[in-house]
Amino acid sequence: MASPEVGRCMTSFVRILVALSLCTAVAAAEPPAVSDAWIRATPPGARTAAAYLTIVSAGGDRLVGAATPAAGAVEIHTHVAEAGLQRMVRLAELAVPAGEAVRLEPGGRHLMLVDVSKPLEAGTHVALSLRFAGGGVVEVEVPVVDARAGAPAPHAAH
Amino acid sequence: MRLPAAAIAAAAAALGIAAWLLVGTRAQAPLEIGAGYVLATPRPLPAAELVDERGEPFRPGDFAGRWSFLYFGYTYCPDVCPLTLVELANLKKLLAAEPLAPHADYYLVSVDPKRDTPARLREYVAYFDPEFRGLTGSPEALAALAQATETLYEVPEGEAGDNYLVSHSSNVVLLDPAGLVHAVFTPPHDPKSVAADFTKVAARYAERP
Repeated sequence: MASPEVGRCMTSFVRILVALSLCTAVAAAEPPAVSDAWIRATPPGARTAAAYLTIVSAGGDRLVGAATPAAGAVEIHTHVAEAGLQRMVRLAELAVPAGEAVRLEPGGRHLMLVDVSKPLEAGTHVALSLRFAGGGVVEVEVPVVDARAGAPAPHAAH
Repeated sequence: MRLPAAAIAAAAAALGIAAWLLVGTRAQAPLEIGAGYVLATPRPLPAAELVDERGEPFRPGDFAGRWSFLYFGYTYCPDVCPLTLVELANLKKLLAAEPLAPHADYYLVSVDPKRDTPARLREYVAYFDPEFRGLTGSPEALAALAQATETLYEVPEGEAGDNYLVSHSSNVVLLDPAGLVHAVFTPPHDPKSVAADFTKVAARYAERP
């Protein structure tokens, strides 16, 4: 027979489960909006690429994963400046605070496409699937852009 | 015999002015530039055996004779390296249209010789500009070059596979025609501002005694 402590524990656990499922229900009803997505066209022979985009979530969410048929893996990266060293750091997830536009831009946060199997050529599109903690999965057709002529500017200046 | 006080004062003043002029011409204060700094005393590069994008040996002495912009990075870098190389390509275009700016060469120095062979470097840099050069070398040679150019980098050790990240400064290093480290441009590298700064630095260099 369960002790009172275990009982209380179970009650909290059930409450958390209920809370989580409510969250999931809300987030699944309204997945984050993804805009301004583009991928840097790859120089010849490149095995990596970077994707940039803007995420907005009305209720707040977290980007927890991404995938594309164009690459073996997609990682969430950020740059951390440390005593003159630009350290590219892999993030397990990226917080998307409620109502805030989270921008992934050149020289900052980006999605790194690892093991790009063939060159990503300007003018083509890459299917990118973004997975959020709230249960939402957002599929985006991302244009490949030759950034030598200048990176696309996001719609809202910052 | 005693000199009049006025004569002593005049002599002292003349000496002072002479000393000021001498110091002034010998050690001019370094130029202030927009993003980065000019070294108070240009620094020589160490002897290091490098290899260029054609697989030919390259020594730091080979930089002498013209201005050189150096960027330390690696070709597996998805974001900040292509970004900087595009900025350098734009800088080169701006300088080509600027009659007062002297000619400069542009180098990507790969700190990741394990993955960046000369052939790989060659096709990579040419994508950004057909005249861009590539350099790499042994870890020891790269470490010596990095130290003299105030560049930091970190290649993870003992990586078996090909998927690892390299951390590096994102500075652009300027070598003068004597082959000395002359200035360091810190990010972000706005091509217009770097072009203006380089023109200023080169003009000051041309006026040196």
